[in-house]
Amino acid sequence: MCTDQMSTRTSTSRRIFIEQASALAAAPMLASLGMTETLAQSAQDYKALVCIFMFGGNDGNNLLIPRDPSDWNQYAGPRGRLAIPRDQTLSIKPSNVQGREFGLHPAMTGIQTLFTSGKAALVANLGTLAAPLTKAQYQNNQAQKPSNLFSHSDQQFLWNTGIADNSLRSGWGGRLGDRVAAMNQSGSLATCLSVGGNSTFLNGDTIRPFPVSPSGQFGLDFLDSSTSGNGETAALSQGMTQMLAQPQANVMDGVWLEILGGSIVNQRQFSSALNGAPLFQTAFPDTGLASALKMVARLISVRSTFGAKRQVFFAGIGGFDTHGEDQPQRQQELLGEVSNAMTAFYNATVELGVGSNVTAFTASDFGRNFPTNGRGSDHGWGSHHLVVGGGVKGNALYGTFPTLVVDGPDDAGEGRWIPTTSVDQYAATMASWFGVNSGDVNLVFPNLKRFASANLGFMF
Amino acid sequence: MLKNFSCRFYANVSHVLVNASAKLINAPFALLAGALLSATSGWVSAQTADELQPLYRLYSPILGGHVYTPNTVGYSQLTEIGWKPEGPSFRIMKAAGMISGAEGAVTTVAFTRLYNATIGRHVMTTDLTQASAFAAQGWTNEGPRGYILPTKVGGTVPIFRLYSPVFNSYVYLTSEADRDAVVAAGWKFERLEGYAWPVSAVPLAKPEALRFLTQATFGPNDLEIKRINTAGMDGWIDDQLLRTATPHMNYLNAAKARRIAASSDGRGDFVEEDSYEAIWQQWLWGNDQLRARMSFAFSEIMVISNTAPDIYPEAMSTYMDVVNKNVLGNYRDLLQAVTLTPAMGYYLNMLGSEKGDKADNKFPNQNFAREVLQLFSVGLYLLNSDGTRKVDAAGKTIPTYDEDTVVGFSQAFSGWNFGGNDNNNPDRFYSTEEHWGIPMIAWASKHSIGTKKLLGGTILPDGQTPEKDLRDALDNIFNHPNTPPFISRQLIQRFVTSNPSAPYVARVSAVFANNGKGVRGDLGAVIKAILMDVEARDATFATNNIKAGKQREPVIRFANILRAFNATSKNGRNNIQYLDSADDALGQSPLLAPSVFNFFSPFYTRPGKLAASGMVAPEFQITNEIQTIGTSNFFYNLVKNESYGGGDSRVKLDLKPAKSFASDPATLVDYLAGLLTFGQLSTGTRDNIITSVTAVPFKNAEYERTLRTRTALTLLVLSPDFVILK
Repeated sequence: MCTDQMSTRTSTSRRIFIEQASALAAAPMLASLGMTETLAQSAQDYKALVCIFMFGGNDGNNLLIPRDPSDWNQYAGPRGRLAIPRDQTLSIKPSNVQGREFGLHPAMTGIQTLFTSGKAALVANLGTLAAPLTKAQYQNNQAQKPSNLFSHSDQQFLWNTGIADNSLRSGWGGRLGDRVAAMNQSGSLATCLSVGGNSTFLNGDTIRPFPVSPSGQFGLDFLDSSTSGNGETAALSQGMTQMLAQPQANVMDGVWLEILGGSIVNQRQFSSALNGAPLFQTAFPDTGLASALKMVARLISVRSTFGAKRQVFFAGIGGFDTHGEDQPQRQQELLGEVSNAMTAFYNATVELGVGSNVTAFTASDFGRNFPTNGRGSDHGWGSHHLVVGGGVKGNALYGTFPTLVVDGPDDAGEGRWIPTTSVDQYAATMASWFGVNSGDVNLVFPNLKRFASANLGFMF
Repeated sequence: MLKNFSCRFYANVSHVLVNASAKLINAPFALLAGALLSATSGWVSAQTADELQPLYRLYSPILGGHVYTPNTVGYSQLTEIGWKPEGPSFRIMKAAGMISGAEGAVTTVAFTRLYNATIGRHVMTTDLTQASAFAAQGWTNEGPRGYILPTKVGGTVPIFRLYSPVFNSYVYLTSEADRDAVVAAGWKFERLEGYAWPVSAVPLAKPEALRFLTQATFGPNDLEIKRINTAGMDGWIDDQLLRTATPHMNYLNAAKARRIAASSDGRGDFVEEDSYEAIWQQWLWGNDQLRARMSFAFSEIMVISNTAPDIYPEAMSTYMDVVNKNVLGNYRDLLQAVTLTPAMGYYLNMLGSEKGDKADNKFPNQNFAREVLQLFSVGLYLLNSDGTRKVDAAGKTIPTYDEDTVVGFSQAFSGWNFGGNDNNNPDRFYSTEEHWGIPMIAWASKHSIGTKKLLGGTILPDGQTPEKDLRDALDNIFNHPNTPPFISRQLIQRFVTSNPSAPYVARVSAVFANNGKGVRGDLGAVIKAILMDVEARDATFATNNIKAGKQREPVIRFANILRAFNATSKNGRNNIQYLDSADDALGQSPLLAPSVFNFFSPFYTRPGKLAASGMVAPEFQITNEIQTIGTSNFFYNLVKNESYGGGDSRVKLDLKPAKSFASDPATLVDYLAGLLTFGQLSTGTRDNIITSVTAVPFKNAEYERTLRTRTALTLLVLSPDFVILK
């Protein structure tokens, strides 16, 4: 359960740990799991993964664009009205692609800066795969394909579960949480936190994610408030307490009160913890994703309140299903929002002194098909994704950039790229950085063994 | 669990009925109102209740005459063409027979109705000689409308016939006092027709009737309570099946017209908020409550959503109109009508999906084909007729279809695009004018050629038209054995309980498969079977079974509260639009599901007690620890503001009657429980709320009445008694 990476990464004062441990009822349990030594060495050990899910299927073909003139021409033809002029793309020169030049979507200036400074990497043609799959195998049904390709709900689900040929209900973020929850003093409470609502991603085999409101809207307006001197708040507080204490025979009656009561107790904990959160110098844009990531940063800033050493977060942004004419405008807005929010988030983690301890990455249903459908683009498959953080070996492009040719070697049909890197590999690379040992990585990602590499090498 | 029952509330209901009836009766006749209502008293024994039917009276202000009918459908239809319903006058036997009482056995006599088309008048009589005499003067004998008794038996009342020379009209009264009062006003007493049974003085507004309305409507309100008192549950459903929805597009067009009128340049357009408001108009104030509930239920099965991508407002509201129109008709018609809405076409990409082209590596879009099978009709696994999954010899579930079937359906559904375009012109397929308010049409030139694999081994032949392929494909879905249990189970979940027993699903499925007249897919019969099933009606079934019930959907809870307090707005509109926020709203908002998979799955269970009990609880998928805070605050603020929204569209609750009870916490709580939990609360909840309300100091100031009401109502709407419908 505890890995080399974990135990070697930190050196810290034993005194701090002892102080924290004195407040820790969980210590005996940790001892029985052989965890105490690691904990002792890692009082300042902290790592977080932040999944940013772009719902609807982001058109990766316009996130990362080949910028060498002949490459760009090859790109521009079939893209039609979706093609972004070469000189508008934001130049990046990944250190590991033999001088090949690429361009980022023009809205992603923040990412360009992070990439160039080595704090962001790209993974090319990434997607759901049950096993490595060639074009011939795909066409002749000679190898297993992910179930329900090109279907939003199914592909979102498979991205979240990390298992493309199974209907396992748990998500890989949750399964990572299962394996690290014992490292956190408050157990599961602050291990898997969603600022993006309910999602499969954080559902573990045992752990349940806790949703946190991005707005910081905590607690019931009519409880715990001293503003009302008219007796109403006292009466309501008394009534709520009584109600929550009522035993219920009917199962749903009981579950309703369990959730209502749990929400009050848990929100009080988060609310009280966040009261102590420092204010950021970093300015966050006023967008949905930025608000969500700001909340993630605030939660990270108060991690010691929960004794959290490993956390997995989930955030989402919708609107990427750009079939229509508004794709260029829509993507400009959405990728701008992603870039600006991820950049602010990274800067905030640096401000908190955990720039190298927090890794944010993108996910999405699927890419979109390469040639335009005349308006926008339709459901595709493989796509390009971003990984941001000080723990990332940045300024590099991992995986294999596809050949942008309809009916070419990477095309499953209609310019839907057959992924050359699987979600499993992408996730496992981060899981290893997160501190899950290689044996456990294979349990979390049971199909990983089918792929050539269990680590894509983009994390330190 | 001990249930409490509020008598005060029912007294109040009767009071409302008195007022409402008085309003309906025309002025010259108004003096009768008091007399008529005083005539209704006493209960009929349960033994004979089934054999009786109310005889309803209507008045036509145009014709100036009255008519009596036992037919609830006819009663309803006449009201649609200008007749004023005046409620049941008394009850008569449905069939001829013999009644035994303390007075001995009495044989019934026919109560015959005659009609004079020349003067537009009806008369009823038990006297065959008089009937012949009327007929001789040109009246048409319409036959018996039921049966009454020639002599008195216990519990019956006399039926006096009176005639007004002024109105040239006949009415029937049930007491001597009434008779004499009317005679004093110039009517003539003509005949004692016989004896019949009075309408119950305490009408059907019993907990069970309110519970029924809570299942079947967006919340019992005065109007529906009155209707169910009149018609009973069966009659209420029959009446609702005939009620039509006001088109949502009317609301959009009116909104657009207002914008045009208010603009300086004569421009104005639909906005998406219009589409949401139109839904709430129907929910809050529509007279077609059962239709509205069915439409909402099907909008959660055959989902479109404006979450992403954007769907034009007229497309969404046209979809709602199509669902409303078909949702109490036949499922097959509903399925086809929804399939061909541009909203659905756009949402699931059937719009513009064209035939495959191997050379160009194109294939028809599979999105709609996949979801229509998985979500709208048959589901992923073969089912028994009771909704349980079939298993093979190895005990494994059996898939309903394979990928080739999805491909087959996608081919069968190819070639469709916006209506109102030239579908003989292949190029027009790629440059259609967008018509969101009319069904899609097919381009034969863009339709897949070749055979198509459907469900159950059916192969569509090559060379059929796109229209024929579509009809055949939908027939194939409609006739699949999975469809009745798959749809029936979900409808039961939307109306009655999350975990229906297998026999309950089987009973409803059987009605879906055959409505008793050889018709498959009769959704009116299906909803009636759902609501009238013993598992829905027998309240002890719910109280004795710890797995019973369902969470009231958050938006339905909101509607329940608004309707319970007769919420209205100044301009008759609303501005209820986005309720999907988790922070300060309900996490649910019509037409804004996160995806085609709706707000929740019919198979969702929550880890913990629910899963351990082997239960599903769809609504709990959107019930988590932040949503619950947001929802609770939402309802608290609704109660605190006594309204929702702003401006002239602000929807205001009428809390005056509640506040009038504030001095007596028990009365206040019982009154509120009568409105929201059909007069029933667990002892624990009731005692707790009374104690909490009592804790709010009270010296009879108005603001104290407000605080006490707010405290009681907030706790009540957060209590499991309200949240979980049992």
